[in-house]
Amino acid sequence: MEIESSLYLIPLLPLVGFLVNGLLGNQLPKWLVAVIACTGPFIAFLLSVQALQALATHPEGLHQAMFSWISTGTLNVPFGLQVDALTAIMLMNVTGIGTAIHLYSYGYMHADPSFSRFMAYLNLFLAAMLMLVMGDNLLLLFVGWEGVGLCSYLLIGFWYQDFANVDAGRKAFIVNRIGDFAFLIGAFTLYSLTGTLEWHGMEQAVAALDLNAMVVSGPMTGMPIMVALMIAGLCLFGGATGKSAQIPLYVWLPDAMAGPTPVSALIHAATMVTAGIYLLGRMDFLFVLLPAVMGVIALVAACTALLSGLIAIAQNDIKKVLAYSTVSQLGFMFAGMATGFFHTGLFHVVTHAFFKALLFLGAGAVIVAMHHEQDIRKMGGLWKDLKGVSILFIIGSLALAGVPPFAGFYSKDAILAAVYYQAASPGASPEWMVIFGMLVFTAGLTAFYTTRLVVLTFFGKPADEHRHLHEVHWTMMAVLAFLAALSALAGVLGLGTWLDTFTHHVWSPPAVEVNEALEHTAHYVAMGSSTAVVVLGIGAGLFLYLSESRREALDRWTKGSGARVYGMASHKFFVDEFYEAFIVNPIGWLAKLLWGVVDRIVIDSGIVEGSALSVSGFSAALRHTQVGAVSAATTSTLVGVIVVVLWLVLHG
Amino acid sequence: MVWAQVAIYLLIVTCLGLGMSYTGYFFLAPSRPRALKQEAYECGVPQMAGSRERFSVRFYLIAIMFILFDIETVFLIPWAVLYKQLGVPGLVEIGIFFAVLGFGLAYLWRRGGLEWD
Amino acid sequence: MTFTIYELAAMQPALLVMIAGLLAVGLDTFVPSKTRIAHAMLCGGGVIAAMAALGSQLYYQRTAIHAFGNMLVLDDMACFLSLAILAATGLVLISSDADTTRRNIGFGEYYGLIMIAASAMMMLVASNDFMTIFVNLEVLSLALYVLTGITRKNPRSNEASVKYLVSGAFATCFFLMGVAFLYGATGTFALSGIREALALGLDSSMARVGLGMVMVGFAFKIGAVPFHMWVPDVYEGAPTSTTAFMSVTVKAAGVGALIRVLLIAAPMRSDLWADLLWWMAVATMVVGNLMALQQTSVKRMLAFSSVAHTGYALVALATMRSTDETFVPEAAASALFYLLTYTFMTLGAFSFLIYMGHELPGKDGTSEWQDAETLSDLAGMADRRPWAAAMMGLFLLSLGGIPPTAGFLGKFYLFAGAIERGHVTIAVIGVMASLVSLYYYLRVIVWMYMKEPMIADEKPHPSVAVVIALAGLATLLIGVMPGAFIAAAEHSIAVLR
Repeated sequence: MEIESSLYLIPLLPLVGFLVNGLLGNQLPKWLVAVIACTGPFIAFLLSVQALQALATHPEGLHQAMFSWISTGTLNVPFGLQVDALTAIMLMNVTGIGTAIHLYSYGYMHADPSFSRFMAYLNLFLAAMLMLVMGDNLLLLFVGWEGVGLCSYLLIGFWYQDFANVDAGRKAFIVNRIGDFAFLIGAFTLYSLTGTLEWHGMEQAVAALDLNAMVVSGPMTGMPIMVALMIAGLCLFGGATGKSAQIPLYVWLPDAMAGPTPVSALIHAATMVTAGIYLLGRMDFLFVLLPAVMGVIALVAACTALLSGLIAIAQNDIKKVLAYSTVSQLGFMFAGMATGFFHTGLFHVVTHAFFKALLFLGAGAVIVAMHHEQDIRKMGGLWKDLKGVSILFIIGSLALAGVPPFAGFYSKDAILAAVYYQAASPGASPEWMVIFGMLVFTAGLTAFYTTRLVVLTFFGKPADEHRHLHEVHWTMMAVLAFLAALSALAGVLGLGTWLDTFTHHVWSPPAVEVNEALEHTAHYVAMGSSTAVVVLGIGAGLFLYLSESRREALDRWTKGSGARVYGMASHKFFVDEFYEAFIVNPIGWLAKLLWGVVDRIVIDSGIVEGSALSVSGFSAALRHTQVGAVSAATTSTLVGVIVVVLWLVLHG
Repeated sequence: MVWAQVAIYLLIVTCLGLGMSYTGYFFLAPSRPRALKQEAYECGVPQMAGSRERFSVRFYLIAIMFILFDIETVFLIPWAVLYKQLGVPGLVEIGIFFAVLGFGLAYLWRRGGLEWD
Repeated sequence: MTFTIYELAAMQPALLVMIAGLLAVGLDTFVPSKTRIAHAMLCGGGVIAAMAALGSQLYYQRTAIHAFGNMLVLDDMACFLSLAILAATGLVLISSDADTTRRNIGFGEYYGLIMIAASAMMMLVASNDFMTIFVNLEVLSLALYVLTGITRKNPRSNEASVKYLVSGAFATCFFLMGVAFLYGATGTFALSGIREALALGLDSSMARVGLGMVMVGFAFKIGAVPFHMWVPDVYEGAPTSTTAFMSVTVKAAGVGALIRVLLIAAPMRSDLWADLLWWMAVATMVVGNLMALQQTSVKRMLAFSSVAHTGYALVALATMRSTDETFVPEAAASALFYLLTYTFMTLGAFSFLIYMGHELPGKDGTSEWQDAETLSDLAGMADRRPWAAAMMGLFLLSLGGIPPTAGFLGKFYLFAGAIERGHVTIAVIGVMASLVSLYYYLRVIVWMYMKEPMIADEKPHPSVAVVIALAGLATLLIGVMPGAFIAAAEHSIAVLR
């Protein structure tokens, strides 16, 4: 089978699974639902592997044109699928980890009465995510972008009987819509500059733009093209901050943990949230032209990483800790993309998908074992009872903390090196050094809170000596083991170097020649500093939390003199409250005003009822003309004749 | 402006005319009503019955039938006048005409339109 | 003056219908054992034969037949409208089966009169001379006067008949006077002759008054405001099958003849009549819809709605003169297409009222048939008669102009054309008026679908179900595949000049 002509099967198969399970799932036995749900992604994974192999002989990428999708006036959008090195990596990520998590979901969710609905949503998500990474134009990407958003919303509120879950789903959806607004503005700007939405056409059109000229047509006439491109870049990044949870739109992701744990692993850690990074990678031809925008992205990313790292320290819900850690790691990825060494960000996307999926799924196993208890203060000492899960979870934690030789170390190290390279380049803007500092500090924080999480969960004294742990399903363990192997070995086996060479030709080359000497220095600086902070972080974590007495002292501090500092972190720096007071409430008031005055009084009473009443009143008056007598009919005819004749005589 | 003048003129004339006749009717004419004066005029002979008498609907039916056939025979006259010029086609046409007319008469007869009871 | 047999071909379809009608009368009178089946077969045969004759004219003959010194012309427009009239007549013949048996109407008279009226209308749309126009107008009117009063024991029917006769005669006077004026001004009855005379400068006030009065005569027949006052009373009083028949066929024939008069006799004076028709169309749309709004009787509501639809059709005629003062006779095609769509949806709606008829107990122990009339008669029918109610819903939505029905396309084509020729105001008024109309059309649907039934003894007649199904099919067919019909309408007007 020629893979290029069957690319369409990759997103189609999960979609078929969605249709079958969504429409018939209630009638089918659960094992069959699971088989249907897992088969589609698995075959898609095999096809993705084939596509990856095919890239060796087709370095320019695979492309399958399906049909002309939208064709109105000058706007022509084809419906086509493409696979290049970037997409291939994302495909492996999405279908590989997706399949694993589908399998895990059977173990995790099979007792749920809505199991088939859950699997159907997961399949739909996969189909949308595959559209997102495979679409050959910006609009098709947006379809997938919205599709994954919808699935995220559906899955966060999966247990819709609990109102808090529904609220979390809505929050995710609305915050994402804000990002989507920026995304669309960016897309429109770019379309009006380039006149196309296809990646290739857009790349060539952007390359052909004269950056010093002015826009000559459209709504931005007279604006320098450079400024217009910056608007486009910033708006697209704005869209990415929504989907990929960066400041200022990251607030939905921690709440999204209300969804079932496989969802947190698949959508809110491994795949969907990396859509923003994919977007930056896909639009690299735009961003390499805009160093100022790249600086902004790096700064935002570093701030996000630092802020959420700090918040993660003070969280007690096992999934919340992981969620903030995800936000923090996404910050690392954006910082990596912003350096212009795009493969570093992509590398971290991949390794993060491995270990964060592992951590979430491990957390899921713990939660199942603990009968749906998520508070780490009530765990403790699980090491004795859950040896297997503990070992796998600790592997994931080591990877997250960036301990060599686990995968996370390599990818984080690559990002830090890239940032340092930027900072140390001659003529670099000084903010880069600040960014580097923030990221190194965050790396230490990561090690610290990861250690805290592991210690509190698995070591120490059990909170309840008489607990009876629930059995963990074998499918869950199998998936955990698979992911743990990847997390442990991906870096050692040279995934980073391979990624660099494999994807090298898809990136737009940086504006300046790479300075190899500086690259080496950067590498050593990054490795040294990150190893140092990781050791420090882990040491601090062990020191503070392993000993019972010091832990109690810490508790006293957080309730006493340190309450203010600790409270800031544990209340997430009051960002939600700030949004509530300054954005949500004013909009709510405005909406109430519009509803009360404009809608109810002006539109309902005035325009709608008013027009209806005036029509019916007029018609009631007119009714009296129809008396039913022949004399009335003849009189009317006579009047008509007189008018007609007079008019004709006088008019002519 | 001509039309405005005409309108004013018409208004004045109407008022004048109506005013004169109503003045005469209400103020000048003598009014001595008697029973005999209120009766319908029957050539000076006293009335024998009410003038709103009801006739049997059959009279109307017969009358309408008569008028119908009466008028349609009028069409014979132009045909008779141009008999020679019209020739055979004319004869055929008048034949069709009479056939339709005859059909109508037969229908009428058959449906009892000419029966008095 | 003589004529060849060939010229009779121009009359052939109408003659076939007329002969079938006369035979039906004869059958009733002279054949002892008479069944309604025989009448229906005879008349149906006549209709089909006439359709076949028209079909052969359209597909094999192709060129128009001018007959009797150009007094009659069987051209494409005559064929188009004759086919519409015949389709409506055929459907009415089928649904009449219910009325004649339920009300004990004499088959011969009833079928005969319908056929004679249809024949007169077919000749009316082919008339090219005021003489033939007038004669056919009268023949069709006389037949309709009698049909209106054919349920002799029903006082409402009698009242309607007399009203129709008196006001019709009154309006005919004006028509005839208008013809006389035109003859006085131009010295001819022929439409083409009048055009030539007007072109030669015989364009006096006399001719204008004549034209105006002729238009009044047509306006009365098609029920345009302010000559519409008879419509609701007559439509409501007449037996519903008669109402269905005259509401669709007379409109088609009257508008068709008016188009021919305007396009052949007075195209160069479009400055005169276009503005007049503009106001007439606006008044008709507004008054018709506003009056329909007030009705609780569905039959009377449909009567006013038919007035409103006359207004829509007149929009096409009124906008034949575009705002940049060019004359666009092609505009009339949208009126023809609209009349075609109107035929099926109105016929279907009235047929539904017949279908839902029930028996009322009379005073002397007998029972009397009552077609459904009020909203309460139709209440809750969606539960008991889901298919028929759905069809009625389709007809009402089509009358209101909702896609994908024929009514939507008819209105769209009409108003889009008006805007294309610069007449935005009248198009806006028309759209607003049809917006108002949705209120009363949807009210019927609300009653059918959302109320509890109030009568329980409706006795649907199977033959009417056939009519409803056919009309529904046509409404959907024209709505989904209008291409051929629009093309036919446009062609009809194109050959007229």
